[in-house]
Amino acid sequence: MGSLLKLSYQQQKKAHYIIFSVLSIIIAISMVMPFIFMISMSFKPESEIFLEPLKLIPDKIFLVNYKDVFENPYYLQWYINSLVTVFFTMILRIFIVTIAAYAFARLKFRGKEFVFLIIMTGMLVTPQSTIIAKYVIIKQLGILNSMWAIIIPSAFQVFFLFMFRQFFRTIPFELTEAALIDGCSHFKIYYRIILPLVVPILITTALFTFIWTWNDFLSPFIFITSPQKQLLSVGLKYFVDENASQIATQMAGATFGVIPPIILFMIGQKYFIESATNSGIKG
Amino acid sequence: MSLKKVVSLLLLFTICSTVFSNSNSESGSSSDDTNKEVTVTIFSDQNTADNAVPVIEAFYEETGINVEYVVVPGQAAEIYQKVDISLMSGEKTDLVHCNSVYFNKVGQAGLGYDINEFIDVDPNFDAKEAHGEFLQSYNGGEVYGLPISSTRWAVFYNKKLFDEAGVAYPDGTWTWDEYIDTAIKLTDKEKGIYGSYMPSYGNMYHIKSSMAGVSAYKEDGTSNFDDPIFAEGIKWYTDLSAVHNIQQSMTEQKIKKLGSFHFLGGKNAMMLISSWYLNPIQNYEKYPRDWEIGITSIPTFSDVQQNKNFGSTQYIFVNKNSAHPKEAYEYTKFYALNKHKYVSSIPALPNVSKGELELTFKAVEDGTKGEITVDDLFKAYFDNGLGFGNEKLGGVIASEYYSALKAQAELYALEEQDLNETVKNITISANEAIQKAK
Amino acid sequence: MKNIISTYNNLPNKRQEETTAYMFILPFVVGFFIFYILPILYCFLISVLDFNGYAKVSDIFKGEIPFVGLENFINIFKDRVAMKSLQNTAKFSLMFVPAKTMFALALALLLNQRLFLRGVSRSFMLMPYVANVVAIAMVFSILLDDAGPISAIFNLFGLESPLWLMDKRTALPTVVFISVWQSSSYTALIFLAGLQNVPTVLYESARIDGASLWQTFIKITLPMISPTTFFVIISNTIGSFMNYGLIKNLTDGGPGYETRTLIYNIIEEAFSFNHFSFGTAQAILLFFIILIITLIQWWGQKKWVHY
Repeated sequence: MGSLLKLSYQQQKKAHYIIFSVLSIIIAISMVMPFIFMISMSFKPESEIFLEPLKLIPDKIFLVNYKDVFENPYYLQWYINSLVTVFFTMILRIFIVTIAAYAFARLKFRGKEFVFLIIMTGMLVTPQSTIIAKYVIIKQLGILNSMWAIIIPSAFQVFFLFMFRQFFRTIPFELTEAALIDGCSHFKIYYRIILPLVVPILITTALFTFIWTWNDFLSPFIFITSPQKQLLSVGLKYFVDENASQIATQMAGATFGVIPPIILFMIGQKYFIESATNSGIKG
Repeated sequence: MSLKKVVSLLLLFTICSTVFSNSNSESGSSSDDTNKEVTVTIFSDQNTADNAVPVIEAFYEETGINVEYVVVPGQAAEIYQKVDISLMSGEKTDLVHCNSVYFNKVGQAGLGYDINEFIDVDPNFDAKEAHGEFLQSYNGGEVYGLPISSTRWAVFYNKKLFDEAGVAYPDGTWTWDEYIDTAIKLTDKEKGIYGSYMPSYGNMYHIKSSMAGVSAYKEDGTSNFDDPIFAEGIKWYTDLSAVHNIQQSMTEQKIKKLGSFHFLGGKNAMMLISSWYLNPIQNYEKYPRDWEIGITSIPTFSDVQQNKNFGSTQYIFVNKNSAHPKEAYEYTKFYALNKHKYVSSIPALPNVSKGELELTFKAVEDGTKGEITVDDLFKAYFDNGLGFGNEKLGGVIASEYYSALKAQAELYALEEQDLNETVKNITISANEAIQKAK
Repeated sequence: MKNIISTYNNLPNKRQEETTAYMFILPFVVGFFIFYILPILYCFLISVLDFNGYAKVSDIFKGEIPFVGLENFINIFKDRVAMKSLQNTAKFSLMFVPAKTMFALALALLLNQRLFLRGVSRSFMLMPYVANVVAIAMVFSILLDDAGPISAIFNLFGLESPLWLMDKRTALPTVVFISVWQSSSYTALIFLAGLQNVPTVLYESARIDGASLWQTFIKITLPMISPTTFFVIISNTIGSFMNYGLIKNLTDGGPGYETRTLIYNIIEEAFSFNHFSFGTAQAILLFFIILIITLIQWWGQKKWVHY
């Protein structure tokens, strides 16, 4: 460290660049390793998985696991169901959550703190403990055994409300005051000024909503019964036998199921990182 | 690609697929309208549903009633969780396939439909006569379902591994000590071959007490786990891997998630398992193997006076909110009386004729291409001088018993606590649960 | 400026703003009432009943289930397994929250630098989050196996590798480690968003003043991202209590009861043993524990969070 300080600023910058690059590559590789193992296992026969777990590229690419997965008559249907459900969940959730967050972060109204605190308690409830009550409610609403049983309840997500409130609060009020004086409605301000400022966060939210809904097991398992209406996360369970260790088949199903989120990540990434710097949010 | 394009593409795709899936469901409902036939729905796991296909067809031939299996995916605990929620909130699914522990819970809560009203007026069916002790009634004689099969245990073995090790096939009259000796001869760690395999389900820890017919409850209703036989049973099972090294340790089984189908992979020479296993061994496509399989009867404990074979009973029961209780009853009866004709299983019918069992076993002989004969099966399951007892720990706190047994036996196997402490902890947990259940 | 503020505070505007605000929060509040408040009320209701067997939900409202007051709550403290689970939950959170927050912040700081192959590294770091929990649990079981690569590395250095998930001492920390590995990237992204909102001008002036990297981090970065940090710590704390999926798939609560957390116990009590009231009472206890911790953090934020 002492010698580093003696270097010129340019040299120091270069040293940082090299050190941090190496560090980040090492971390990145260690983070992605188990994931690579998953893919590798999906191309191995069951018996080989434990024999040579380190062998990343199997001697022979073994496709039977994938064949098992695709031979299921419902597999494609599950895939489509999942995509549709996830899509509607994203849209509905983002709209309902952001507009409420706008009110909580930037508008004055009576009972604001109180209502917000009550809502915050929603984050503290373990979803499994309320599942029976939710089931009864969803049954009463007549949306049991349909994708709406997943979409509607998940639109009211407290975590994101809290997150958007935190971000909306960091946007300087000066930015919107002028518009208000010009007679702009709050909806217009929300839609035209605030939302464009948080596009990276919107995209992050959309992506993570995608992943969470995509991977959620409990809700579709309990609320959807017909196999043809089921979602992929539960559908994959149809391949697992209690008495068999069909690890390889499961890995194949998981690997294939991970493709849509990864594609979305790749597309979304440059939006949710780079655009933040140009968004004009300054402390 | 711009974000706008991505979003609009996604939107387009979504709309298309929604239309597609909607049209699907519409065609489904319209066919229901034209068809006035009754459809009975039934909760089950995937395997049971796959096996039931010929039974459903035969039932439709005879009665014109459709049966639709609602398959719940996942492990038993998850399946029962889903069925629990459905039953408790008053869902209308007509029937449920279940094990004796679950049937007992539903029975005591009175969540089943009393089918006595149909049995009483049925001229061709006397449930008590047909099912004997297997028939269960609750709440002062109400009958919610019928026993559909009753498993028994036997040892399956891999003839190829026996031949390679130069060991003679077991003849069926043997003790567990002989079993262990045989397994030691068969074990070849360098080739990754173990002589024995008993998947670490909870019931493996109480094989000894089950064979001796010792109940897990004392007469006053408290836990009987302080009876030395339970400690012996836990030690005996743990020693199979820890001392004799004849099978994978509990730890290894858990990490590798080895289930009972692991045996069909050909790395273990013998496996103790119950009679449901007769089905997968006939499925060469799903579980291919290049070796012949044999079956022989369960070994006995030399220090137990009267060894018994043991097993558990499976049931179908009618949901209290069933939309078609009469038709549901008809299917239950049909399944209970005829399952063994279509699915390899031992019926829960004490008076079933030998001829009928022969037919069932003949199907196994054909299904295994003669590897296992009718004679082998009778010897392994019936003609071995063993009596018959119940396999499960049973009672009101069966789930709690297994949970405590699993956790404590695991600590014992990992040498975190000694045998005394293990058994003491299980007894305490069980007694607390029994106290709570009151 | 003063003029503007006084117009802004004019009464008609204020009322209008209030109406708008209520309209904006209405959809959320209605949905929240139906899908959160009602189920919570239901939980409170059955926690004081003796719904510890198997009955129909409609029986609760018919008054057919006996009222037992706080008995279910008192029983929690008498139940050894529940107390052990509570202890494990505390240990889990105490390890998980700091580890995850620090690791995520470190990742975010790293990714906020100019780096060689930054895009690739970033994508790689996000991968664990995308993966399915069941598959991840399985991969780790295999990697941590006796014959797996991790113990091979230990053997290389002549050390004896512990059994990780099967050892009483290492099981819980191992689960925490896997959990941090799996979920940090999301938190890192939130931090990254926060970091990118810090004006570069501040860093420039710090550099001119000759501040070291560490000083810049302490004096500028940390205070500037404190609202984000606050949000992250709160949500991680809450998240640390909801760890059912991973634990179920990794250890099933074992060995013995070593990784059985409260949420695992709640689910087993409710759905394996059908002790719905007893399980729910534990869920409510958990609810209040999280509530108290969150409130303490909420009040404490004034000391260190700068909006």
